[in-house]
Amino acid sequence: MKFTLQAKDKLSKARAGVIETAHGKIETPIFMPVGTAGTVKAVHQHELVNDIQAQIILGNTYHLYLRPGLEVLQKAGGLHKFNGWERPILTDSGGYQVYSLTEVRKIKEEGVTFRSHIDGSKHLFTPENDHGHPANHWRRHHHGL
Amino acid sequence: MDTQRIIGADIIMAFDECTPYPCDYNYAKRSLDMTHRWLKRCCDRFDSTEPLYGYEQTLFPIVQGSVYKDLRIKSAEVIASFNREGNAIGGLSVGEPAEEMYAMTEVVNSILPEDKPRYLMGVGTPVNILENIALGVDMFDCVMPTRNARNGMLFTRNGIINIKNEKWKDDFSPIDAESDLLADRVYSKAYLRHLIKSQEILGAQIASLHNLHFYLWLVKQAREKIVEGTFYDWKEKMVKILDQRL
Repeated sequence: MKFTLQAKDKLSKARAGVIETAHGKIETPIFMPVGTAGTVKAVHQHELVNDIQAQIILGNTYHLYLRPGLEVLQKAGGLHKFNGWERPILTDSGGYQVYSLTEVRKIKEEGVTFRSHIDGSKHLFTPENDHGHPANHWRRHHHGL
Repeated sequence: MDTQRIIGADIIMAFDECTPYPCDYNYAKRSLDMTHRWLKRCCDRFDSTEPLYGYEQTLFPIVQGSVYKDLRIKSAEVIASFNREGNAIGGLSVGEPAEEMYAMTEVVNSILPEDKPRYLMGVGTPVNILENIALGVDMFDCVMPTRNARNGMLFTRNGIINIKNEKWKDDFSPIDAESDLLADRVYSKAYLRHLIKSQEILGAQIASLHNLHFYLWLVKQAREKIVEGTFYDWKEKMVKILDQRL
């Protein structure tokens, strides 16, 4: 990633710049539509590109991890391939949704244990997520901690 | 980190604890220390793994510290010392007054490096966005334009419309006659009100399209004004208009 500052406002701290990523450029300041579960709700990708002119969208790790799950996303070749969005994507760590959506959770030094808001199943998020080969991740977390 | 490697986004975020509001000082302080220890683990993991799909990913760490200035300063210094390619500010827009949010952004941005993008997570209203751009923020996200759209709240260049209100019932003027978005010119307020009131899927689609188009228009305008050198006066004018209820 590369960031280039292009202009600075004299009367405030505002600045204009360009971020370059593997999936293209983002002109800043920028707003990123939130595509929670791999979709910006109620909006087609072609509307995002042509009408809204979004340059980057968000995905939420918590939602994507629970549904469709990492096995599907990895088989698809990543979220870009899965949802057909060819421009940059940013994902959060999943922490925020664990804290705001799940009722049963334990925060420890190791990480956060929580129950899915969908089916009550138990999961663990850690900074590393996970402890082995990425391909083992899904199985590990779906067959008990 | 491995999870976000699998999802494969271009920019991925450190795993942190986003403290709620209000949050007592001691909890916020303990949480912050853990978030910083977690960041070290995130960076170690990220730096020792490869992207899975052949393109580069970038990790942004996140400043926390609730609404406590000394904790925000400490966190910003720790986050800056990791020297990643971009930095984020989290734990704001969680219910605190806007003035507190701006105060935290200001103090954090005075410490985060200028030559790296700054991402303010989960913010906000159109006014919040303009005020934080003025404080040196480069990137924003928020569910507000889409979530509120589905409930009939439209953000426009003249202020905020609750399309469910009786006053739009027979207003057959376009949603926004000056917009370059086709849907804004084709559909009337009265029609959109009918769709939202009837919980028609198309209502959510049109309102979401409108709001996101407006948000992207707003930041694009801000960018043009910064480049032109007229941002500050424009921002001062806009923040008075954008919060008005129409």
